[in-house]
Amino acid sequence: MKVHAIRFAWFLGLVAMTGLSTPATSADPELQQIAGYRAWRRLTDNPIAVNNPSFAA
Amino acid sequence: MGFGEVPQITLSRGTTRIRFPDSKPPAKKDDRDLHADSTAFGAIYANDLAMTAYPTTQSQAYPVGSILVREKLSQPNAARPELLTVMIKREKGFNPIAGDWSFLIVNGSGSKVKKRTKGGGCLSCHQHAWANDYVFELK
Repeated sequence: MKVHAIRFAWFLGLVAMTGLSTPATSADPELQQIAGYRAWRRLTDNPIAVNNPSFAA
Repeated sequence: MGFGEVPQITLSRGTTRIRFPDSKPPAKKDDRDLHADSTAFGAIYANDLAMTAYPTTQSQAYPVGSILVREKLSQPNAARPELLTVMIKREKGFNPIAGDWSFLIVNGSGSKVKKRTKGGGCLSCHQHAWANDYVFELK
């Protein structure tokens, strides 16, 4: 019984360490889709200025 | 801005400008918060799927999975964006009134969706580009 308790405690420790060392990632699939967007093709070499409040998000 | 009033897209002094003839503040409070600036700078990025349709002749539909990301920059040469506005082309029937595009407003680090809409202020502007699958062709 004592052996099982030690093994279980070791297992819990392993799970905790794994969780702590895993970087947080977004579960939102849309955010995952745009991750790294700056490596995509940039459509304009120059900045774009927009004067419409509805478009200036 | 009425449907017939088309924004003017020009290139001058190294900056592409999109000028609307009659800019009005959005009606909803949360929209005012998100669109507080009357002029914003930004760069637009497109994934590989979107590049198969951009920039081409008009009336070509973007394939499902196309994504366009526009950064809102406080200054033209700012290192980090304040916000991202995103268009994602979804499956047919997802949003028939807007070419099946999904519009998102995401925080600058890309870690949180602040707003997700099928229309709203995004569509009120992009409807003017309906002939080009709701995407403005830049100069």
